[in-house]
Amino acid sequence: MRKLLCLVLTMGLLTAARAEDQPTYERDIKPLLIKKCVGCHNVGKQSDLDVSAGLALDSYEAIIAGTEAHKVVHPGKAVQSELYRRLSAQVEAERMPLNSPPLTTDQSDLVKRWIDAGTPRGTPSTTTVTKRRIIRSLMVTIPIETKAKIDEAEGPVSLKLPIGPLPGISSLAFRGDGRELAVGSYGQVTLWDLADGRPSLTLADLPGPVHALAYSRDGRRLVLGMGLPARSGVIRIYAVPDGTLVHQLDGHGDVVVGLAIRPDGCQLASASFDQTVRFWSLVDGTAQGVFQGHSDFVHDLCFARDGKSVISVSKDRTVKRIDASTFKELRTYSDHNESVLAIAIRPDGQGFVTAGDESALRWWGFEEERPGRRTSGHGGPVQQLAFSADGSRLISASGDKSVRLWDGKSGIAQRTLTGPTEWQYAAALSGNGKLAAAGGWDGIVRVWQADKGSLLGMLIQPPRASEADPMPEWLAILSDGHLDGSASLLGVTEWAVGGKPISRESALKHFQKNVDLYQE
Amino acid sequence: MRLVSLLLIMLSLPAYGFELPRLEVFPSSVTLNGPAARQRLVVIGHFEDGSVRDLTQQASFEAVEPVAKVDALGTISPGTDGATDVIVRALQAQIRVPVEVEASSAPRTVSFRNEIQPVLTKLGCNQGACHGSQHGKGGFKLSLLGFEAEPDYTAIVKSAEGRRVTPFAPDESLLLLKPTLAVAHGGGKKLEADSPESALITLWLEQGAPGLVPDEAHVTKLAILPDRRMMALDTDQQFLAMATYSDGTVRDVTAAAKFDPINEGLAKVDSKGHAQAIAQGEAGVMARYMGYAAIARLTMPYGIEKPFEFDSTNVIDQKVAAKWRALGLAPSKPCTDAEFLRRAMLDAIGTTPTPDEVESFVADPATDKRVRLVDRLLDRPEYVDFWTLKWGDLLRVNADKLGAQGMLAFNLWLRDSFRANKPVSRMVEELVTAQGSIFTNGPANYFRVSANPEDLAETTAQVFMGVRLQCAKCHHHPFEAYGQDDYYGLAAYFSRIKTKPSQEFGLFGNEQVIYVTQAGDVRQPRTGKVVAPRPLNAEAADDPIDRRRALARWLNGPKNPWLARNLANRYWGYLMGRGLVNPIDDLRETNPPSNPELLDAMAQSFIDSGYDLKKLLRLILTSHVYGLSAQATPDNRLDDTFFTHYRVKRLTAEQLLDAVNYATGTTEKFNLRPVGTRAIALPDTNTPSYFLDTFGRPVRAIACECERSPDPTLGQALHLMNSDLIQRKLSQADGRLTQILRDPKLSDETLIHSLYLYSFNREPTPFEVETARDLIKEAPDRKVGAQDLFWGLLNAKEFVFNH
Repeated sequence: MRKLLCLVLTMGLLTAARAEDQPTYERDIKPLLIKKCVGCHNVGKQSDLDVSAGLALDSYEAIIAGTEAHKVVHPGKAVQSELYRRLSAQVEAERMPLNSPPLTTDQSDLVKRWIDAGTPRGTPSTTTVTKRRIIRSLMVTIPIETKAKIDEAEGPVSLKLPIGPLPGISSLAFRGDGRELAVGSYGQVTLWDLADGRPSLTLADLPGPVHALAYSRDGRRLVLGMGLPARSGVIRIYAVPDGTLVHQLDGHGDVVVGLAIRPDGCQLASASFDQTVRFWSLVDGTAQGVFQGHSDFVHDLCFARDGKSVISVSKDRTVKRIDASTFKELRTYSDHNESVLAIAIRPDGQGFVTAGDESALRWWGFEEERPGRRTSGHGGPVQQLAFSADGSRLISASGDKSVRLWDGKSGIAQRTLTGPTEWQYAAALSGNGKLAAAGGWDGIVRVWQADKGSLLGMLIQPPRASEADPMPEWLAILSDGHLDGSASLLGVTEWAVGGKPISRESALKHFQKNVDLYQE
Repeated sequence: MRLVSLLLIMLSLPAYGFELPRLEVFPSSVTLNGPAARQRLVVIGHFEDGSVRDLTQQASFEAVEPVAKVDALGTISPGTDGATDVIVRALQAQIRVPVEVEASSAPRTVSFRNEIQPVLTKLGCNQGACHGSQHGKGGFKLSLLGFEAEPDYTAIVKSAEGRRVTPFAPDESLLLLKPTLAVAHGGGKKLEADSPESALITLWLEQGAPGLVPDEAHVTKLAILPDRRMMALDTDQQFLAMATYSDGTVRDVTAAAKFDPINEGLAKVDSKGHAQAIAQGEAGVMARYMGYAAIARLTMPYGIEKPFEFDSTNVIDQKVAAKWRALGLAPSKPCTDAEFLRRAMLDAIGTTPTPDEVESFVADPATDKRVRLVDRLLDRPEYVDFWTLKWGDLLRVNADKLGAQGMLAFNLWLRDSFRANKPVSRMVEELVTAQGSIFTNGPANYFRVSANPEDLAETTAQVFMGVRLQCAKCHHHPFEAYGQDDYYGLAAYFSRIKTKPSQEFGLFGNEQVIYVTQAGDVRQPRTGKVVAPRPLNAEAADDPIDRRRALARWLNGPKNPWLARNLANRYWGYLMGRGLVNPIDDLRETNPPSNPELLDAMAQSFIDSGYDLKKLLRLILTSHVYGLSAQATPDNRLDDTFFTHYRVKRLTAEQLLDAVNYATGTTEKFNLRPVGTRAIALPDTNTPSYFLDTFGRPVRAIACECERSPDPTLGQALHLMNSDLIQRKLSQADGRLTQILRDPKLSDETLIHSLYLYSFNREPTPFEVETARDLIKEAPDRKVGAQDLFWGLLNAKEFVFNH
């Protein structure tokens, strides 16, 4: 008993001792601000003066910068600092957090000591991200439509794997020739060699969902847009095929959802849920400027062909043209009455196409007041639009669970690609427009032969059971049921033919083969 | 152990007497269906002295077989399939509750609609100030109070690139990180990370965030247990919310239901359904869940039951007296005959009695004279004026919208109806199915007052059913079972009504003709689907020729619970100064009557009479409750709800102006009306009158009883005191006072008697005569003295109020 008491006392002393040393931003102040202040005072709400009064507190730089009018911290002088004054004010109308219980004395003292100590930043918390808890037990049914006769059993084939729920597919991009497909999902990007029908590279442990993927024109760089929802946005530039990280671009306050590379390859523009568009040099990876003219999520953006401006689309129902060197708005295109989620620039330089919660595709000329043409077909929000590099074809992915192809010149609907049974978020066309790919909420990537509209096959990657597992798990399935995959996945497949379970061994003997989805 | 028991007994003896309490458990038997089913038990003790207490917290629980498990709070969870008993023990008494467990090992799939949505609603995520607002918050929009599962599922799971949930790594979902404040959240902390709600959302995510299942069982009824309790002040009671589902199962939804007090000053209740009695009277505890509501009635008696003498003449007296007994209240004495005469005349025909009427009524020795008076009043011509006025308010008879001719046609139809004592059901039918010229067919104006299907649905619900349907136009009614489907179902009855100008009166005659077409539908705005005509809470009903005929049949039929209740409540409210349900035109399950048995009885009697309004009035006017004095007694002074004494009310604008005119022997000249037209006989409220406007005459713009303001205002007092209106009427050459003073033999006493009879409609007391005589004597001359006295009487509360 006495020992325990002693221990408790010592522990008390230890915590006290720790509190004695200087507070730092990263270790002490940031968690406190996140808990109490950042809900209103963040970059995203900085322009909403009613909420934030123009003050953001979600980064060290923002705190030091204060509002446009004045600083909120004077290092070394807590009593004269607005930040401390507001937190400790006696008058309720002046005290922050507004309409909430005040900070405890310990908490406001911490802020005081931090400012008095000269607002030291400290080092970012080095504690490793707690290991992700992954669910990988739901039975996933692979939708194959084929009949077979195996071991006495005859009839439709059914294939299931206990690897769900699969992370949704959030972005797709073909490398120029169409042989390589980059697939982005939560925390992971996989490059698939379609001719081999297997992954050639997996980039794992990425922070949050990857919502944007862009290849450089020469196909030697892959740019990833991602981030932790409501916390941070990250852009990474990798060299491919070797997968070395070249640059990491920080600055967005929420997930990066759109990326565009200037046609000359020297500038990058990014769109984010943090309501901003940012510009970066691809030469040295530096930040160039910010556009804050949108008042809600910016969902996507494209460079105009001359590289001088960027067109961005937003949940604020506007399409804006931004000067890529001054970062100022050139004009707003108003026609949408609901969120605008997707944009694709016409490779022929004739204009661009937008769509969103209103599902009709709007075909704009750069100088027009209203879209010159509307093409309808989708029955739900259009999540992504992409042209083939030659401009011959446009693909659209929609929340109506369908993927559609359109003539890139006339805008006439070509066909609906069959297969998807869930909300589709991402779609891409190969450079020559021959291959189409799309994916969505169910985590299955589908690849089609675009001319015929026939489904070639499906690509599947389960969430990684262990972060340390170096071996990517994968499964590539042809529409006729033939498949290939990592041993670990083939080993958990469950088969039935004509409603009758059959042994994995005989099924794999029948169905396993090399899967070519490229079909040169 | 024995020592503890002994101590318990000893401790409990003084409080509860020697007898063991009789235990009652809610629910009395339990069926748990599925692995996640839970049922909490509530234990009540009935004691020898008649008191009742919640013993849930003191009780101990034990399952006989491991078929069921039960925790210390009395929550039963499934063990294995089978049947057993849970033994409940409290204060040495015990009772057994049979428990049946079914499907305890069935696979468990969390239902978005039935499990996740209620959690979000309970946490307040979808309330109007947060994500339920018109544009959502922070880019995330949910339906108000979670009535639309489909768009909410999309918003949570699919929208914004699916950023809000990550089922494969559930703990990283924004849906959990935001409300637990692991990530900054503008709405603050709403959810504890280790709460059962967090665990449920996590489980749902782990299952892949399954969406809506077609034909999934949905709530069809909500009940609250116990549903009534007699409570002593400062005692408490745990309540249970029990939902019945379309698959027949009954589930304990206490944890997810919202609890609110009705009559906040009398009882309070926390979010877990634990209520406390804080003041005397009758209160309610309302539970709400998935658009359904249920109410438990709490009675906190004013005192122990008192004997009182009260002789019941009809069903009203019986039901009201029963309530007094339950609450320990006692009635005041009957009012005087003069008071009754004035009161009944104002209430039945809007008219004050003449001195002759007062004298002969007071002098009449017959014991049934009050009943006979009521019968006489209901046959008087002013009955038609007065009730046409009242219904003119309800139906908004107003020349602004209808033109003078339409307004007069509508007014004349009302007058005919009351003259003939037309049953309300006939009036409803004539109104709802009206066609033809608005100039020649009065009720056709019903379709001009409200001109589109939505307005007509709202008006019809409001006027005939006492149901305020407006909320359901845009979203599910927060306190009722109505949603947009119900709203547009009712509106569909009026979608085929068209208006065309008439040839007969020429293009400039402004005559309109209401006619029925064979096409025209309303669409539910959210789904865009055509809605078939359907009455509220009822089976769809249509008519091949005119949809409205089906509606009229339903309105007047036995399946419409509202028509009779609505009118019984309104008429009770008009006469008694306060409805059994208040506001008197807001009938809903979540706004219960103060005396349900009385409202039921009156409604039934009204139906049995063939919807005869005079019989309804007679029932109320001849009850002894109506005839009670307005003076409270020490035994009932705290009561303002149970009609132990008559509730005084200010004369309405028209009653008051007529009373002033009668008292002063003057008349009013209204624009376009013959001299001497009484205010109660004006056909609409457009006739200019500063007096009537000041005293709260409605403009008849909305179908709400609230439009006629009963509240006294400073402007009213000043108008009576200072305006030249009263002065002019007092001194008018052919006015009452001038005429009285003309008698050369007039004594002061006779003068004073006359003035009291004309204004207060009673004889003055000797003290009043004395005081008044002094006033007249001290005046410069008799005329001035008499004017002063009369002015004082007309400004007295006794004159301005019906008492």
